[in-house]
This record gives sequence, C-alpha cells and structure tokens, in this order.
Amino acid sequence: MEKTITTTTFLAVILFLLGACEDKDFGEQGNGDNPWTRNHGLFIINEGNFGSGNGSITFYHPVTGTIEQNIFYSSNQRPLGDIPMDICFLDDRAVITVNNSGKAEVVSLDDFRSLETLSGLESPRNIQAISDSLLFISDLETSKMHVLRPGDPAVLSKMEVNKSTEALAYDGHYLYASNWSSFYVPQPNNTIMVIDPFQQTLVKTVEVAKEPNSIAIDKNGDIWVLSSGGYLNEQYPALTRIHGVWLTVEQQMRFPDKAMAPFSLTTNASGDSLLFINHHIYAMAVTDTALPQNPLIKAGKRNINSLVTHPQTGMLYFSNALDYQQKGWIIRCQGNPCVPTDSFRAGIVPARMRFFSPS
Amino acid sequence: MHGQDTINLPVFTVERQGAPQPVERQGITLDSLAMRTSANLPLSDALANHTPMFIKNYGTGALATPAFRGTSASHTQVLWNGVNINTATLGQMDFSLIPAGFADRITLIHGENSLHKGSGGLGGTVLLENLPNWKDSLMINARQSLSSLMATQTLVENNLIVSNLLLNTRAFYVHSANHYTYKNNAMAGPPYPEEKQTNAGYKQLGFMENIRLRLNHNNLITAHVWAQQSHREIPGAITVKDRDEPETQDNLFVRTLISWKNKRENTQWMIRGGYLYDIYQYHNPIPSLSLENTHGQYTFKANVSHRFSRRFTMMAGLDYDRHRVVSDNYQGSFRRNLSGAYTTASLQPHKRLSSRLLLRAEKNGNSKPRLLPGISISYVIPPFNQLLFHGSLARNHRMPSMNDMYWFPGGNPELKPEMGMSYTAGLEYAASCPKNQMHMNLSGSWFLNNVSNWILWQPDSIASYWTPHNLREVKSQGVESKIKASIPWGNNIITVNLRHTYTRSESTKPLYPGDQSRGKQLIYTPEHTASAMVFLHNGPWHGTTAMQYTGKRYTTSDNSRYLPPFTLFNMEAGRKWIIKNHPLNTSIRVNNIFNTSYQSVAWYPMPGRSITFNIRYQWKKQ
Repeated sequence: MEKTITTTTFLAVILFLLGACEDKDFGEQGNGDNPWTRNHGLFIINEGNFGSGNGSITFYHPVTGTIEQNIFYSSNQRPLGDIPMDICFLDDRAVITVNNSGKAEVVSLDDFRSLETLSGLESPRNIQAISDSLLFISDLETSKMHVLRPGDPAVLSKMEVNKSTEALAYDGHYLYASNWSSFYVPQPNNTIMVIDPFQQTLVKTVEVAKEPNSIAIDKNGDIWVLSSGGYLNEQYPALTRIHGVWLTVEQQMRFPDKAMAPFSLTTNASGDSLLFINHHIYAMAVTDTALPQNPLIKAGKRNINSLVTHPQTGMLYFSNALDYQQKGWIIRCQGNPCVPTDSFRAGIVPARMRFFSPS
Repeated sequence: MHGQDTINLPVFTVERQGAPQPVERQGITLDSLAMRTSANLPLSDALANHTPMFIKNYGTGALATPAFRGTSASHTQVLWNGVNINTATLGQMDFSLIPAGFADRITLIHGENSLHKGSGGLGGTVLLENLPNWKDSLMINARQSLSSLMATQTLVENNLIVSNLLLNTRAFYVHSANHYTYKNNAMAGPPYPEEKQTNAGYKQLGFMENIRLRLNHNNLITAHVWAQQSHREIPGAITVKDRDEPETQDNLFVRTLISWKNKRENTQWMIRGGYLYDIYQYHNPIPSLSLENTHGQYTFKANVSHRFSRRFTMMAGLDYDRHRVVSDNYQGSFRRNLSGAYTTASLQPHKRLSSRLLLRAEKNGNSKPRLLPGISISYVIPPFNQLLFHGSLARNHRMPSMNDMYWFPGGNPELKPEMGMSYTAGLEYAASCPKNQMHMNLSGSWFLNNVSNWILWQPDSIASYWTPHNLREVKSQGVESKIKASIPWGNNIITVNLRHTYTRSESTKPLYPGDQSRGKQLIYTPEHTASAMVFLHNGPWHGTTAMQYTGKRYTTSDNSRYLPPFTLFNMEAGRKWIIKNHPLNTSIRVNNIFNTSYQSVAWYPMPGRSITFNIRYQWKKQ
C-alpha cells in the first residue's frame, strides 16, 4: 500500500509536469495573421481599451464584403500600440496616430508594413493632410501641433498654438483645429483655431461652445463645429456654423439638455447634409435652422460610437462598440429612414472609419 | 488505536475519529509548511502558491487582485481578525500590500462559511488571523531576504509574556528597485528584444502590535494595531509610451481593534470595536495631477453563543460599520452605514453529521433589510469513516463600492447590490499509516455561483463618461481538487502537494444585439490552474521544488483574444544551523528557474529568473 501511494504520487507529479508543458508564445494572442494587400475599401480604426494595447485596424472591402482583421499586426508581427486614433492616406503610404503610445506609424500602402515609427509625440490625436508632403497632427497633452513632412525619413516639427488641439479640417485654404480639452493645457476649451498651414501662423480664433470635438465642412465651404458642452456637463452642447469666408459665427443651435454629449459630426458624400451621434444618429440639411427632432437611426441597445458615409454610394456605416470589451459591429444602411442592409464585426471599440481609394 | 469508530485496516488506520469536521472549519487553511515558506512573501504569492485562488498580477510588488471561483476581485473579502479590510472606495483588496508574515493563520473560506463571517464574499473570504503565542515568554524572530531584483526585505517579530500580558510585535520593511529584463513583444516580432523594466520600484514599511491581557480565567482582552506605509511606482503597459517620471501611488493605513471575550462553561460572548483609517494618494506628473482619498471606518461587532447541549449550539451577533470617504474623485464626502444581525444554529443530529443554519439580515443606511440565509453540512460517510462529505448553500450579496456609487462623474447612486447564490459540495479522504508515518489527504469540491446584478462600468452613450450599471448575470462553476501526501523515504520526509482547479465562469445574458460575450469565459479567469510542490526534509537540510501552471486567460469578453498558458518552476534549498541552542535557517531560492517569459496581464511583463537569499534567526528564552 505504501509503495502504491508512493508510486502513484510520483507518477502524478511527473504527469503533472509533463502535462503543464506550454507553447513558447507568451503575449496576447488572436491578433491576426493575414497580411494586407493594396485595395480600395474602408479602414476601421479600433481604439481598444486604454492601457490594454488591444487597438487594431480592420479593413473592409465593400464590393466583395471581404474583412481583414488586425492588418497592422499581420504585416508587422507586433501590436499597433495603445489607442490608435486616426489614419491618413498619402500617395504611397499612410500615417496612423497611436495616442497613448505617443507615436505615429508610417506604413506602406502596398503591404501595410511599417516604414517608420515616429515616437516622441506626446499625445497625438487626429491627422489632416494638406498635401502629400504636409500633414498636421493635433495633440491633447501639449500646446503644440505636430507638423509632418513625409519622406525617407519623415521630418517632424512642432507648431506652437498655445492650446491643446483635437479635431482638424482643411478647406483648401485654412486648417481648422478645435480646442477640445483644457486638462493638460489649462486654456479655455471653447475655440476653433484658423491656421494658415503653409505659413504656420494663427489667422484667427473663433469662439464656439465648450469642448468642440468635431468639425465638418459643407458643400458651401461653411465650417460646422459640434461641441459637447463640457465633460462635467457645464454648458449646453451646441452645433455652430462658421462662415467659410468671413470666419464668423453665423448660427448656433443649442441642444436641449446639458447631459447630452453629441459627437462625430460629419457630412454626407455631397456635403449638403450633416450627420452626428447623440446617442442615436441624427441627420440634418445644412440649410436647416434647427436641430433635428427625430433620429435617422435609433440606437436601441447599441452603443453607437462612430459613423462615416461612403463617398460614392452615400451608404452610411456606423459602429456599435457593445460592452467595449469585445469586437464591435459595423452596420451598413442606406436611405431615409436608413434601413440596415448588413453588418460585420471589426475590432475592439471601432472608433474611426476612413475610406481609401488608391489612385 | 484511535477513538471510537476507528476501523483498523491491514496497513492504514483512519485519521478521522468518526466525528465530522465542524462546519466552521470548512475552507482552505495554509498549513505550517505553507506559512513558513510564505512568511517573506506578499499575501498574493502565498495564496497563489497554496490555494485555488487565481491572482491577476501587474508585476512584482504591483497591483495584485484575486479572482476566486470565477468571480471578480471585489467578490473576495479580506477579514483581518474578523474585520473587513477591503477598501471602501474600490471594494477590493490589493494583495501585494499585505505581508503574509503579518498573519499567523490564513484561511480561504466560501459559501455559507463566508457569509457567516460577513457578507460580500460572493466568491469567498480570506481570513487573516493573529493568534496568541503563550508558549514563548521571550522570543525574537528575525528574517532577512535579499533578491536579485534589487530587493531587500526585513521581518522582525518579538513575543513577550509578562504575567497575564502577551505582547507580540512585528515590523517589516521591503524595498525593491524591481530591476529585471524582459522580452518586449510590443516593439518587434520574435526574437523579441530584451529591455530593462523601469519605473517599477516600491517600498513598504509596516508595524503590528498584538496585545492580549488575560484578566482571569474567563475574560480576555485583545488589542491589535497595524500601521503600514507604502510607496510604489506604477509602470505602464509596454505598449504605452515611456515616461521620464513615473506615476506613483502612496498608501498609509492604521488599523486598530480591541475586543473583549468572556467565556463561561456553555456561554461565550465577545465584543469588538475598532477604527480603521487609510489614505491613498495618486500622482501623475504629466498633467501634474495629484489625487487623494481618505477613508475612515468605525467598526463594532458583538456576538454571543450558547451551548444548549453537546449537539446544539446557537449564536447571535450584530455587526455595524460606519464608513466615511473624502475623495478628490467625489463631489464632497460620503458616508455609509452598514448594519447586520445574524443568528446561527449548529446541530449535530447524529454523531456523523454536523450542520449549521445561518440567517443574516443586512441593511445599508435606511434601506430595507435583506435576508441572507445559508446552510452547511458535514457528514462522515460510513463504514470506514475515511470519507467526509461537506456541502453548503448560501444567498449572499455585495454592496456596490463607494466608487461605484459616488465617483464623479459617472458614479451611480441607484445601483443595487450584486446578488449571489452559492452551492458547494465536496469529498475529503484522509488516511495515515502510523507504522511509517505516511499521511495522505485527497479532496475534491464542486462549486456553483450564480451572480445577478453584476456591476459593469461602461461608457454611457448619452453622456461621455464611464458609468456603472447592474448589467451582467454570471454563472460560475468548477471543481477544486487536491492531493497531499507525506512519505518517509530513507532518512527523508517527502511532502507532496498537488492541486488543480477548473473554473468555468460565463455571462449568461446577452446585453446588446450582436453581443458575443454570452456563454464565454469571463476575462482574466483561467479555466485551469494547477500547482505541484515537493518538499524534501532531511535532518538539517530541506529542499522544495514547486511548479505553478496558469491556463489560458481570455482578454476580451467575446474570447477573441487570450494570453497563452504558462508554467513557472521555483526551487529552494536550505539548511538549519543551531547556534547556542537557537536555530538559524539559511536558504537560497530561485524563482522562475527556466526564465520563462510570461504576462499575467497583457503587455505587463513579469520578471524572469531571480534569486533570493533568506536568513532567519530565532532566539527564545530557554
């Protein structure tokens, strides 16, 4: 009996040790392994969770319905970083800002391999291309914007604007930058900066409502700014129209409740309508003088957190982040009322979508 | 050869003497070997090494939180000498801030037994107890460790008895630069470049006094004081940009308790009061942000038990806790008054059967009291009495934490308590062979926890900040099994501990259209964990080999991403010396012998191989 116990115990130990053999991978798995090849379609920036390094990029081909997940990891065998924010396409390359990694990745648009990692950006947010050789990157943490001249290697410089910057837009003449946060740079966060991108000079500062988070330019050249009213609901959210020539506030439409936090303002393909998210998705004509009462798409139980319209077909794409801890859904719809046609899954917290058409 | 009901088998005799194990002892108590080898470790390591508890660890000395029986960190309560010390703000405990050597007994309980000690332990409760040493009139016990992680740890204990007064004093100091290299899988594909961990240092300084005064044969007064200060740097994930100056966290707490116990023939009563105070400070140099939370807690407990007969004992008790939190994260200060009353009936209707019925009523402020019943039974299975069955059933709840309710912005004062139903059933087998001092214990337990109103923080799509709601419903079940054997082999005594835990914990309700988390394993909850330890004792020498296996842990609620399993091996060898009749123990320990790269939390690298030298000297008045 003693021998039996002894033998059994030792056998158990040995089996245990053998059974516990592991594979060599030690990092997070499930990041994808299909390298991307150049194609036109939709890039979805999945932010992931802060500090969790699980942001990614999904590519969707609208004609074939093909979905490629984690294309950065697949092409580079490393994670994109913490909180990818925005992507901007140039002739042969794309620039991706990765906010909490303090960097921008320059990738080839042939195979999505990283050509260069631009580190040392404090808190890069959005990107606006002025031309193939000049880009601006907004920054949350500092009072400087990053000016990027892509090349081999890229040249990075800074432009002092004395405020934290967020949303960017370019009308072919001026660059518009919203001052969304006063957390890191304690300056009033209720303005839009009008910048001459070539001279790198501040032309004008236009006051709008507090926390302007997104900018859209309509077919008339007017600049629309959506403000959430403050993180702590200090003010009423508002939609502001700035005259495209005079750069003065022409119209301001106040939302009815301070607790609202509208965001993600964009135009449709023809630039005659505005779309934004305020829990639901709303649409309005640029000629409307009041905010829409009824949503274009009701959220239901969805956590809608980004939208975009296809530049040619006008089809609306919006994302549902669900519990923010799993792959979110992209839902496509068309018409008014917008009838969902199909949906597909992207990555964790799909927060930005950009269409790409290779020349 | 033992008492009644002992069955003599050809070789083995029955260890159990026919009486069932008292239900209040159900749980996992770290044995003396585990306590001895854990004294220089934080509680997180002691529990991970010796119990089925899984610890989610952000790094050595960094935040370490439990996931027990498929529940979240706030579903494990920690009681120090009977008083809940989970932070009121977060509702959970950072196990790396508790030195295991500051407790004399560490027990992990669950189910009805957890409810008996207090509510909130939907997964379970960790009991930290300071026990009296009335044997050593003057004893000094000093431990010193030095580690290759550039860490030093000192633990000193003094036991002094003066007549009816017992003074037990402890102090400890830990300082670690936490220097180690790791493979950085965020920077490039394999082979991964090696980098040095930075901004991960920590230090802790603690003091404890345990005073016992025997007034007479019937009356005992006990007082405990535990003060501790800690400072640590908070390294970010390796996907996050490097910082020149780290984020830091400082904690200071003082916990004081005093109790009076009166014991007569069949009646015993106890009253205990205390005040606990802690300050938490967080500093982030980039926006020059400093935040402070202070928490004060008055606690009062009283209970009386009466033994009506050999087979029937009743107990009744009252608990009252008053919390006040002042936080930079709240708008002002908030109070919480928790009161509870409970009664138990312990019955032994048959000599093989022991049971306990429990009814607890609890309320928060002026809310309606909630009734939380529980039952435990323990039965020795005939005919050999080597098998013991135990089972329990309990309804428990956990109050939302103060942060859940009052965090600004986002806190939700309308939150309801999380509700849990727990079911456990298990078998234990114990046998020994006195002829050659061979012992063996086998045990297996099944558990099922159903938790509803599970609190989940999510971004609110109407406002723009995160806010908690009672959203999730979780079903968690599994099996814990253990083999412990002590085998003499020549002049050696070999002790073997094997443990395996299977936990399946899943969300049972889809929360959104298209939700893929239903039926999936909860994040950071491994389905399988296992450990094996072999302890060899030969005269003054001892050696230990330990293995710990942690299974796959999903990192997303739809289980699309995961961290692969890892296995760690540790070894220790030591010798005991006698210097003028006083023992001096020296040992060398190698952690993570095979230099395995692993991450307990995604993108937070853990140390590779490290070496620790330990020396322990004990002086006793002869």
